[in-house]
Amino acid sequence: MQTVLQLLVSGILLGGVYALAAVGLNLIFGVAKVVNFAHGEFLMLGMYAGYWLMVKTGINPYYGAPMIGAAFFVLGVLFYAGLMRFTIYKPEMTQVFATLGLGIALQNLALLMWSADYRTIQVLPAASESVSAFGLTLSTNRLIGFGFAAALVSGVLLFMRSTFLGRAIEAVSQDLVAARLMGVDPNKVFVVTFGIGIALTGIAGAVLVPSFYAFPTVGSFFVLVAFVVVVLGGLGSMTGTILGGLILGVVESVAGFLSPDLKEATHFVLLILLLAARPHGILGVKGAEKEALK
Amino acid sequence: MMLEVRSLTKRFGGVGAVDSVNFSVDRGEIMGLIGPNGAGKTTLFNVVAGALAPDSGEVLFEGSSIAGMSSAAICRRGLARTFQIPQVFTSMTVLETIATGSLALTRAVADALHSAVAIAQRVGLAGREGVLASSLTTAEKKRLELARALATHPRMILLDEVLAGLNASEIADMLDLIRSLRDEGITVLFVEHNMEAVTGVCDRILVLDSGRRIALGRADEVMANPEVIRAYLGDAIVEAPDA
Amino acid sequence: MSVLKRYLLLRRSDALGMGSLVVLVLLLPHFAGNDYYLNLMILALLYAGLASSWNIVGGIAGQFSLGHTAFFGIGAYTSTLLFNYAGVTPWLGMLAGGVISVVFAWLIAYPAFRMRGVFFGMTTLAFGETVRILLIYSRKHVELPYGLSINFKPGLFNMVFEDRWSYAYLAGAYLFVVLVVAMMLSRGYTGFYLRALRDNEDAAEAAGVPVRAYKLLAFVVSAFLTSIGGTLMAQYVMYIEPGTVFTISFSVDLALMTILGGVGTLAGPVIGALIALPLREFLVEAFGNAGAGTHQLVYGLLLVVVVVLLPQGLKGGFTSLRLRLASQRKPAAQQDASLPPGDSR
Repeated sequence: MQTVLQLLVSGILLGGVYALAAVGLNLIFGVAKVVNFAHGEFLMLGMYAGYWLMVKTGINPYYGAPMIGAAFFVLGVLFYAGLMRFTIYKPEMTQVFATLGLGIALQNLALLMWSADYRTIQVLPAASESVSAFGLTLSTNRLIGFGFAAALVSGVLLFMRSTFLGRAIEAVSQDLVAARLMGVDPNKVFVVTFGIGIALTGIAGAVLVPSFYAFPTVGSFFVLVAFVVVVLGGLGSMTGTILGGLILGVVESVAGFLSPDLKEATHFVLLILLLAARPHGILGVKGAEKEALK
Repeated sequence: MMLEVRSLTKRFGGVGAVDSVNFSVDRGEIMGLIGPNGAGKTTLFNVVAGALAPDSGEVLFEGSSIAGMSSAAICRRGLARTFQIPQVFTSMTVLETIATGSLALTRAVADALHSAVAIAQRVGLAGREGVLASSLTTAEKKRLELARALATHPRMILLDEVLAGLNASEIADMLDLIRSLRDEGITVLFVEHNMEAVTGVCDRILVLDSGRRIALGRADEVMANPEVIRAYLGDAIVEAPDA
Repeated sequence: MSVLKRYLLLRRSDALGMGSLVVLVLLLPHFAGNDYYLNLMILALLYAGLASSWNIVGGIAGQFSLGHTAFFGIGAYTSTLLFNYAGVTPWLGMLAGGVISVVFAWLIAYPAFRMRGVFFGMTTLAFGETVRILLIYSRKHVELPYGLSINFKPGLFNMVFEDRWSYAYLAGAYLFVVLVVAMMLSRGYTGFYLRALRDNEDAAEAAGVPVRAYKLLAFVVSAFLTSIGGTLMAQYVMYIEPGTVFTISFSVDLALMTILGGVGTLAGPVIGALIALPLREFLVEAFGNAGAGTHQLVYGLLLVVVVVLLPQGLKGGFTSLRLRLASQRKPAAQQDASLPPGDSR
């Protein structure tokens, strides 16, 4: 019983991490209907940002998150204005390969600048790395990560519901043509969406680096995870992303316990099963996976 | 009876988009399907055409059940459909588009192209065969939709708002075309918003409101039906248009 | 009917184009000066064949699979395992691998083809990775070294050759076969249906096209041919391991080369491979010393530029140039009649 509980809790905390990694992707994927195959690389850059911030200035990423968020917001805007803007009305595969190419470029840029060394930072003193509660061991970093995930998602939801810009984004995600007819400028919406999406991703990476190693190709691992979470939770649904992350975390935790080798495969198998049986995810709208492509 | 729909229900979430609808379409008639926005016309249309599976009820085409069959299979049975927003084969010309439909009847491409030429003429696209389908005007695209459906030699055809986006003279032409379909023995069921057109060309009209059938009958009966008037105009009392 | 004749006439010139392409391909190795270039050419021909195989489902049928490495790897592993452990000639092992790939393709098609576009791509990507993981996992239960070598014992039975020329002819023959199959699928009845479902699935369904069946056909044929290419590559390189035959970048490369040359056309993947491979070599040479990852960086950036500026690939760019020149010469009134029908060449 104890083991089960521990697995569950570890899984949930892991799930929080995964949800964090996916939040930015969900926003961009759900709103701009853009597939960002470079998502993992932005996460990777976020991790390096957290690392270098700590190493150069001593500010730990938990406090530095807002700064990093702001910087990545600008990065996101540049990403859209410099590249994605040209792919929006082109065939879908253009987006896939353009972002794929960008991902490859970013990966190798990181390799060039920072070498393939694995990097991580010690944010908390070793003694408080984990916390005991109810006889269970919880990783403090992951706990904090979970907190960030919840905060960021709530923040985004609040923004979407109560500001005009937020509702404009929501409108564009539901029906671009109608939104345009209502006077919403899709360009402005996309700029903000990408800004926020990449900012979220950057913060996610920074918050993750205390518990995960940063290295140039770490993005490849996270991007698939992020996709599975987004699909699992339902395309476009923020709450779905959290739910999806949690489920994936728990499933992986349990699978890892039962058979460590197949742990890697859980993501893929889950994705395939999901896409076969319920492509709109848990909280997504049925048929959303088809709408997203029109 | 060409088409028989019994107790057809289709829900989305908790909403009954189509709620226990019954009706039948006789061979050789032109039936209009009307109703205010959100009445469930498109859903009903899509279920009959095979794009959606019904939750319960039956759809019988020429006596056999087609509920849940794929659109392609239904098309090969002799029930064809057009799309409200013309769906274009982006790399094909007018002729090739129509020929794709003809290939449902013959495997020889040359024969399919021959039939396609004739059909292009029939719908008034003669001389435009070599044009890329995506370069056509809206009116021409609508005709192409019809042509592609006709190429499969259907015995019944479902038209989805085929008059939307057309000007007065284009509408008149399209209505003539629809009448000529009936002359050839093809049964027609069409969803439409344009009242004048519907009352002018339909033998009978089916009216839906909030997923339910509220009227079915000849144009003049239906137009005078107080429930129909209320569905469209609320409780204001208005004279029915001249039939 | 003049409209008809024009359509059929174009088909004749297409056959001419195909024919000359094939002859060119078979003669190409003769232009190689030394072993280095010959090696490059062999790889280029193999990749041209692999990209053309991918193009059958990715370009002609329009279903962008990103998991073709699974079939490539299955082909390589099946023939090599059968050869190393059972003495089965790779000529038969190649067919066995093809059959296994077909079975896998069939299995993944059900969930994958319910998706469209990007979701389909993701499913196939996940599938490719799953196969790789399964293989690595199987080593816990079966005694298998991480990498497999093929012993160098030249002979036709072993599909191992001393001179590179034989490999060149083999690769050329492979490309020829793939192109012929691709041509057959892109013409006639089947070609129309594949094009229709590629352009607009809903409209195709409404026109009576059995969309699922045809997608499956293209996928399965593509898997089989890719698998054969996997065997050939294994026989040439003589060493395989999961890290070289089951990689995501392989799947991406096939798609990329095809896009570069012109996705959906017959010549596209060939042009793409013939350009991409030497280009990659050039990048390594030019930037190999500048620091680890530089040539990949440049590659990534080039990828972005190509895909955004040339969505129709080089062939498409060439065609639209040709169209623009043609329409400038003829007066406007005749333009309807002079527009060449459709796209798939």
